[in-house]
Amino acid sequence: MVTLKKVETPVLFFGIIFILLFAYITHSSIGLRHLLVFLIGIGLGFSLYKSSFGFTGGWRNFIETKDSSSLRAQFAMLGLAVIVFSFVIGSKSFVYDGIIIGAIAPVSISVVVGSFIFGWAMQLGGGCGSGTLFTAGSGNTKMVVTLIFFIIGSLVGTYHFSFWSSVPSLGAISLLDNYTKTEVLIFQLGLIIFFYWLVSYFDKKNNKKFSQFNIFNFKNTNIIRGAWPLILGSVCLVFFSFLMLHAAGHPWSVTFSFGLWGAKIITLLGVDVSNWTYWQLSYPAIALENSLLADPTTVSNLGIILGALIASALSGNFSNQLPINKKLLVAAIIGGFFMGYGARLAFGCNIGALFSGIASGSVHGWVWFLFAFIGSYFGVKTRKYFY
Amino acid sequence: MKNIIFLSLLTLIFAIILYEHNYSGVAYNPLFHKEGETSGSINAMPCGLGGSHNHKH
Repeated sequence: MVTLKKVETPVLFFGIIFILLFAYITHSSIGLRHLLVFLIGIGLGFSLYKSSFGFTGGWRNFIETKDSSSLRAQFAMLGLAVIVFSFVIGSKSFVYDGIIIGAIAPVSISVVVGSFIFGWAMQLGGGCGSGTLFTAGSGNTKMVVTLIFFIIGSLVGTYHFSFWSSVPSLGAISLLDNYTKTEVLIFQLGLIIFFYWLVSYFDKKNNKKFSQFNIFNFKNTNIIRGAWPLILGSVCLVFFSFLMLHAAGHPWSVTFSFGLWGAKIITLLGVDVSNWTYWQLSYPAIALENSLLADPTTVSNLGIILGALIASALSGNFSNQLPINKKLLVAAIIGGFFMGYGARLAFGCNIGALFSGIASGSVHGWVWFLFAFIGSYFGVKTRKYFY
Repeated sequence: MKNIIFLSLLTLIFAIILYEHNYSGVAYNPLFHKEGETSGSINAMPCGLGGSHNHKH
């Protein structure tokens, strides 16, 4: 068992004060659903930090050493989410009087290119969409740099939107719209189980210490302050995603807000983005017109940052990081920028496109997974020049 | 010291968000549409293509 460090009380109080402030403002000036989305975001950030649930490191571990622990936890999460989402999408929310929708996006060249770029860049940046947020929230300065350039890359991606929306596309393919729920479940779960078996096979073949149960191991019995096993992270992320579906009416998404934050910043600097094609689409136009706190992805992202901050303060690990050098900073800048750009081309990141896409039965989620993994393979090779 | 700088930076960002909220306000709530509106058809997925209108959800 790992010994726990002292709680960082000032950081904890800082987090609690801002949680209370944002909770009050979202509820009083926007509404109950925004408050719920914010609280769910806190739960997501807490769970991501506690279980160190990152796609980047997990994929890298498998590419480099065939360690499949993190990938197995991700497949377990996907399997569970596929079951939950297939029953929830299209049904009525228990929070408001409306129908819950899935994350369905086109299968296009832009998804292929964007996910490849994203997968490559996340190995340089050191975190994916959710990973960048929770590590930045836990006081990692390098990831703050990654986040800043993630925002810039997203903004450039929105500028190039009209070009990428004109590339060849098969259109949106929703499995749930074309096949029965049972057929979709059998197909998706079959694919996930196959991948789970495949990565386990390679791990077992290459590592003598392979254990199918290592993702269940608790490093500490204190669930509030200690680290969680990966599988607990998987279960909690699906649970909070389920709540997100009911509160927001759509699956968990991260990167839309990054482009929005960038657009808001350059608008403040005097650049008019409202005439860009992307910002004339219905949802982005509404988001640009409103305050940032009216955007549900912004609210959930703020929750993730504060949830991770609270979790790291309770663990006594806030701002605990390796020293940063120039090479790492360059990697953070390149990685952040191209993750942002890639996410806009690919209709989301590892959360909005991969997790929410696959769970919603959208074929673009699987295409995203395949090309992001290939991109990550090359990203791991490139990473060696910086880390 | 490192923590103080980091938390000061976060405070600044949060202050800007709150100022912007106060300045821009909420002209149109993307989750609620209008007060009392019950249709689920206005729901939107905030990903690259925008909302349900662009997506044909």
